[in-house]
Amino acid sequence: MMAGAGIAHLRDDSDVLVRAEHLVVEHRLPHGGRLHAVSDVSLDIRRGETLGLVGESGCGKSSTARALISLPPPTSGTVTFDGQEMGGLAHQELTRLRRRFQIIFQDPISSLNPRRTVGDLVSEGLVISGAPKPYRDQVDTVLDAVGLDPATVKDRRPHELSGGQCQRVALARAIILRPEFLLCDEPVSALDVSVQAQILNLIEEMKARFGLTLLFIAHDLGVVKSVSDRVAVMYLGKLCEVAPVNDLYADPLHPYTVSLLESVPVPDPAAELRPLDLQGDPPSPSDPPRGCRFHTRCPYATERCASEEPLLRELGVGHFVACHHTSPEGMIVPRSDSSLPLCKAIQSP
Amino acid sequence: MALSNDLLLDEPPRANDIGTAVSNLAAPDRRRVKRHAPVLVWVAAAWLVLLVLCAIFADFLPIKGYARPAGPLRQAPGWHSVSLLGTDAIGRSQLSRVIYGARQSLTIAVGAVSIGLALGGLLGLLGGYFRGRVDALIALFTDSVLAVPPLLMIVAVTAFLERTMLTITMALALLAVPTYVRVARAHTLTLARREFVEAARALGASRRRIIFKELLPNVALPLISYVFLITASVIVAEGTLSFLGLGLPPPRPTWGAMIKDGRNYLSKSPAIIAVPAAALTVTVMALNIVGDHARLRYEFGRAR
Amino acid sequence: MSELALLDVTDLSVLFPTPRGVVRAVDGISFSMRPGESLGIVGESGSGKSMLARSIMGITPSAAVIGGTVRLNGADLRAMSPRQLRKCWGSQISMVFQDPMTSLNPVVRIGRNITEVLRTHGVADRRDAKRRARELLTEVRIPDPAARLRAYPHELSGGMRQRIGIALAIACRPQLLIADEPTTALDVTVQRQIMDLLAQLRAETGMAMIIITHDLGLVSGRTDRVAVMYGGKIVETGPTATLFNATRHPYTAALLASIPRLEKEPHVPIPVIPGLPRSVIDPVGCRFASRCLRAQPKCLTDEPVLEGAEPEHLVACWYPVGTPEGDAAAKRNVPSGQPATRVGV
Repeated sequence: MMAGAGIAHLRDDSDVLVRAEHLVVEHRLPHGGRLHAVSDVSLDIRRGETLGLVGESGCGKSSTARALISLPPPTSGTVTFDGQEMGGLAHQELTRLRRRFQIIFQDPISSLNPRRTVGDLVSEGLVISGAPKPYRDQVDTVLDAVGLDPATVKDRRPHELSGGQCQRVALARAIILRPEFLLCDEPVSALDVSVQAQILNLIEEMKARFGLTLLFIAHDLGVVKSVSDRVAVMYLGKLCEVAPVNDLYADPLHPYTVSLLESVPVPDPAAELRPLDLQGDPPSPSDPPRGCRFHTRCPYATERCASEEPLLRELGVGHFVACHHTSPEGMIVPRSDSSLPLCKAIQSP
Repeated sequence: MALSNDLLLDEPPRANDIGTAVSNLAAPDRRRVKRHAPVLVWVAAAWLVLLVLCAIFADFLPIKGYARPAGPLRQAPGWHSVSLLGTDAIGRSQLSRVIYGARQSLTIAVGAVSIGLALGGLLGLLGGYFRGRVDALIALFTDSVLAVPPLLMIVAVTAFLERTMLTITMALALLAVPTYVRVARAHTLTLARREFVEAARALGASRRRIIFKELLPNVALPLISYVFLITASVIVAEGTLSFLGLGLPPPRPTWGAMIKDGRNYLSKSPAIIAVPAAALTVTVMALNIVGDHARLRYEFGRAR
Repeated sequence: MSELALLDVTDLSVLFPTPRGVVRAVDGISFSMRPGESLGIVGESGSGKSMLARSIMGITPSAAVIGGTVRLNGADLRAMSPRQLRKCWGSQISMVFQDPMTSLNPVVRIGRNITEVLRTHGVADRRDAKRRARELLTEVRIPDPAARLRAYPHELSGGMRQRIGIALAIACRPQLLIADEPTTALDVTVQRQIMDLLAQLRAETGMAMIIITHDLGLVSGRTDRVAVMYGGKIVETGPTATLFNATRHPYTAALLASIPRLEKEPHVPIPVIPGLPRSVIDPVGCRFASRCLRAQPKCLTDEPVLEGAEPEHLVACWYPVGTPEGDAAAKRNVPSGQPATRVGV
């Protein structure tokens, strides 16, 4: 039985569209051993909300997202979509349910079948769901909505399009079924900065126009902030902090969140580069540290951190943090520390 | 108000930006192939086309029959000869025998390779997609077939069955299948991990749809690009069979058998063996040249 | 340029003849660097920045046609024989790549990867090399260097590999280090550590550095000068602070505006640069004109020259930001003054 970060942060509304409890995703490694991609993560997303999921590579954000839409289902844990538990569904029912949630991927060109035309790709969802022909109008509407000219692009193949255009096609393909929930797995990470802005604006526009609920995964904190209502930070398969977007960025309480924010390069030459207190490299997900997973790199780690896993506790309105030593006033470290900590630590005897 | 209409919806760039243009040029292989195919490939292709046409329309060509003697024994090839390529030990026209022999070889080869492609391709596709036990089973079959020395295997097969076109084709298909299984499997393994397959699953595609609509079109092109090379191997194998006397029984001519017959006259009338040997060598070389070019261009699933 | 220049690039161009025309990956670029200076070259994909780096080093694809001169300490790198150039690599000029696996031999242990470089350049003999390798690993802040020397490249994390890539590059104390997107493949916290490391090394050894990146944020606090590239040309260059605070070129300004910043409010549409990077085959006029919000007819026909009122801050634009003609042009095109947020492909 694995200790988890708890479910204190889950909300009990009827307005919750997606809810995941105690998700565990493990992969068996070819030479024995297991990769603990996700270790007891619980999340919920309200209708019309955008949850940003942030973390570095290996933190399990992609695995969490895939588990939410059963692609593949998690090793253990429950996922509820609109009140319906996904785990117990028969294959037919699950397939029918799939029309209500969709996903767009990181590499736009690779997410489109290279041998098919754009028109074909976009209408794929309609074909699979057995919608009546003709598809032309629906395809044209949705291509127009994502800013592409149907006449120009419908007969093209993915390799004839730019990355940004491919991502628009992927978005069109996802939207054509009018899903309620859209999962965006690092949709702009592979794009140039100038195209990135276009696609982000487009996603926001699609959300407003089609009333979507989004889970937005990214490693770029600026990108996540621009589209999210609420943000969750993951590290090595666990949740560190969950908070409304402005609270997280203005007042981060978990040391890892603080390091993340400190590391983001700021395009302002006057900005002072404060020393980064992060030590060492991230451990491997196949052999995660005991206790708090962040303790091997945390400048405030204590004995307790090495043995006891912290639970998510509410330290502000809707602001949950999984850390033994943090508080709204800063880090409370039970011993003196010579260097100036980032979190305004209060030293107590 | 200057360029607003130009700002919107540009023509999608066709490798006009530096990145794509450079990557198109940086790899030497691709650059070589992007231009016209080398002359050698055209010559080889021409030979194959000529051979195929002759084989198909053999009956309408102004050549002597292949079964009955047409002229003096062991006549040397040349313009004065009764057939351009001379006659064999019992006076039959070498030219006709080469052409009809081509017909046998090509028919068998095409048949064997087609079966190999279809069966091998399918097995590789299934093994690469399902992995696990299915893959292990298919691998067991493939490795077993490959473990037996190929010649031994087809000799064994033809020894026990009546030697007809069909049985020989089947035996040689057995040779082609494992290679195709491996190629198909390798490509499927890579493709199955790509995100467009996941996207299809997210849309609710059934496994069958994914295998046949998403994976197969992408795997087919590289598989077909191997056709020429595998045909070459099969023709050599069939020639070997005939040489050993285990191929199609006479009077139907085969290149291998012609080579075997000509052994005895190597010192006195080398043409008898040289003609079929040359036909075989040139054909196999042509297939390899065209095959290499095809593989270079189409191996990765897209015309380059 | 002056004799003080460490690196003097004059009219450097890298052209690729293609069936469709000549692709001008790098088109007549000139700049110089003083010893110990740090230059950031910023551009998106297709701007030619990587090709520029490679042409300075001399490792361009064989299909490339290179023109211009590259003088390192007065000697023209382009005129050197391959043998002479190889001698320069590592000892005078060195490069760190985006993918550290490019510079590491995967079947050889790290220790040997490093000692080979040291011995090839005669920096250390066989006995000394191991000790020197360990010292190098300590310099790049790798913990437990002795154990790392025995590891194979694939056993290490991306950040660790990049540190070793940097160690290899500085092993022979070059005067100029070119870092081509050194952190693009790394996580943001590792990225910060690597950039800090580069800054520390620069302070310790006094070497000059060129940092090539697409991320303006990466160069803002760490470089003396920045050059922004677009379509194979430098469109703006100047001291870092000036470039950010008194941006002149519309592309630089638009690029800065389109970066999602931490200070901005969520759910506010981001100003976009409309369109796509255009063809650099037989270009006419300003390369950026088709995407520029203040473009005028002149921009389509006449290519602007890189020049500036201040000697250090150069811009290639007919209607720069912050000048009366520039602002008038902008107002003519976009009367509302609002930058585009929706338009794009």
